[in-house]
Amino acid sequence: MQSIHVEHISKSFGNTQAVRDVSFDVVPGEIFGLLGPNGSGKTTSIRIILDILQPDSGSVSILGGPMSEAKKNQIGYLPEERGLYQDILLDKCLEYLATLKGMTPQEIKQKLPAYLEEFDLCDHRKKKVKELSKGMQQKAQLIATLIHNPQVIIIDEPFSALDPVNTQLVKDILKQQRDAGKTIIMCTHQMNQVEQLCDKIVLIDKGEVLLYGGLQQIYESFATDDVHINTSMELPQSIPGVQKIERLNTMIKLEPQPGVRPQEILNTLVSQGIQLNAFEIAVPSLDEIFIKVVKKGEPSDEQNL
Amino acid sequence: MNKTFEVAKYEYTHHVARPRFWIALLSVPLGMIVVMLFSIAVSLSSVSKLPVGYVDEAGWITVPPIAPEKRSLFEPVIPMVPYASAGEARAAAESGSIQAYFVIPEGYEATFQIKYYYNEPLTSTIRGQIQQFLTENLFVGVNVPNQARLEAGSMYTLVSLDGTRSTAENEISKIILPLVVGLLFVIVVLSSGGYLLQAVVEEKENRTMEIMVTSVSPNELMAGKIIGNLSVGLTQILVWALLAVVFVLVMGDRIPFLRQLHISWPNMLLSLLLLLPSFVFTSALMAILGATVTDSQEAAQVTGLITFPILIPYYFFSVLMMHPNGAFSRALSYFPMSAPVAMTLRMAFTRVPAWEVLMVIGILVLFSILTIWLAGKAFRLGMLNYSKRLKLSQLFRKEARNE
Repeated sequence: MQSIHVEHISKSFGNTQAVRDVSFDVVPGEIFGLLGPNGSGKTTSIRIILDILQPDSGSVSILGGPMSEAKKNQIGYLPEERGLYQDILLDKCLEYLATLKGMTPQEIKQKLPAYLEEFDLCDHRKKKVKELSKGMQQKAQLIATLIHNPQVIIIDEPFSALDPVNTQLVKDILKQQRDAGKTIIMCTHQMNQVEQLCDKIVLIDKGEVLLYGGLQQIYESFATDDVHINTSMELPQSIPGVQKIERLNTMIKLEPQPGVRPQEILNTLVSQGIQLNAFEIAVPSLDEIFIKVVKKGEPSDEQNL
Repeated sequence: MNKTFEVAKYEYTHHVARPRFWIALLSVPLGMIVVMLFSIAVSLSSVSKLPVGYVDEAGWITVPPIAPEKRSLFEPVIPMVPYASAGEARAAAESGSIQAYFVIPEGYEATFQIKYYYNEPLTSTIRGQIQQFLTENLFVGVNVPNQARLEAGSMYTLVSLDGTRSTAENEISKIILPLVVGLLFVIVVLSSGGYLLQAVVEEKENRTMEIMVTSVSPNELMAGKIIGNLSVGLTQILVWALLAVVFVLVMGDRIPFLRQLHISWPNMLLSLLLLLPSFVFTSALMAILGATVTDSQEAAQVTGLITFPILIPYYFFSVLMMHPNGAFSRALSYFPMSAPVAMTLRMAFTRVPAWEVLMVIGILVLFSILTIWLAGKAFRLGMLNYSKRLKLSQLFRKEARNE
């Protein structure tokens, strides 16, 4: 049973078509990547899901029906444009935002210290928000998104301004939320984070869906027979069965001739006495898939996996 | 409703907890006291200390005038000199040996009317001393027919010796309170409305708005902000009223002007009924402004669109005073933005028919409801237009949320 069902939504602003016939489903216990280049329609789609904007056509069902005021308490939203009151103390700001999500003062008193502790913000709770670094403000915003234990979490660029330690912290927390059965939609440009976290993605460009499906399926559909090797020996100018040799940073990419399998390449290298430090099938990165799909960018290129 | 209350509570505590709120709040009455003391000091330095003459045509005066007891620092003691006739008194006044004289006519005990002929205007100090003098005499062995009326004081007809001015009573004591009430209303509305405007613009500028509307409906948010803002304004008024009461209790006997202050409680109540919906109306207008502009700089530039009409009655003060029931004065008191100040002033200058006051209160309540509705719409339309100004015509379109 999906907790978010987006069905053929379209939205225009004047002559600009921001979203065109976008559909996707997100189920509980899943981290869903909403991807796309800048201005592709991601934020408009999120605002439609959150009922901030209404679509020109199509519909959105969230937690089993249309958005309502009561359901707002079940949603945690972290927008790309950060929004905290700057001129008040951090704990007061978080208390207020938690109150607006329906939490009682007792619940806040019980949960806020634990969150501040977890995000390493305890020592800063009596500072004004504007006195905090961008990374701290980002963590504070995440507390505001999660403290009321929402069923649906929508986060836009959650890792911006975070150092590697805090990035790992946030990733761990998102995984915990997923394991707890929460529905998570994540917008980000950081494809390495998507690869590590997302179960399913939709790639939007110019308001249209270019790619939609499980991450594993997408990798498989874009897989090639290319191999990556690492060796300390000098490679010969040509290798039987290999049509192209490309030196990467630490690896060498071998592109087989049509019909030649990676196993045959490995056998050839071994038979030629080349000592290998590493040999792996070259799975395309999500970055590469993203660029490939967006560069094609025609509606006919849409792949629904 | 609960979230409306939470928004209102936040807006209220956020403003009231700030030291600058209290500094601004206390600076107004302190400023008024300083101005009042300064004006008293100036008038004391320029006030004539020459004696005042009297002519007793009624034959009431039996007790020789004793120099009145000095009641406070602000009241110089003015000697009183008897004259046998008005002619003698006038000659003395014209020669400059006395600053003025008053005539107690026959039948004073029935009319309580006194004519005061002056070179120097009647001050509250002299008025108080005349009252004390008359009371002392009227109580000496005489059966006063209307003691309560006697204690209320005399009615003065003021005639300047050069004959250029003649008025029934100095009206300033009657109009000063409505003037002050109107002025305080303007200060409260503009300061607390300014807070609201600033809060809305800041929420747009720092993008808090997007978080807010995923937690609270625009109407709840709007209502909460207006209630919070109204509470801030009422706190200001309450603190000022308390300070005024304390000031009058402590200083009332020492400052003659305060003794004369005429308070019309029905008018005060009506003023309050006028001011409350005006306050909501103006706050909602400020919120609309905040939702439609792009930044605080632009907000500051267009605030005049709201403040100017509120202040218009002061520009036409003389028209309101001279012709309080004239067409222009009525129009000013019917127009929602100028109504609170214009109607308060009209009520001070004349007797305004009750139906008119009730009608204006009705207009203001109606406009308050309309502007709150429009403000909710402006919020929905303008909250995400971070760099785009909202057009007024957009507010009246049907599909508000599709913009």
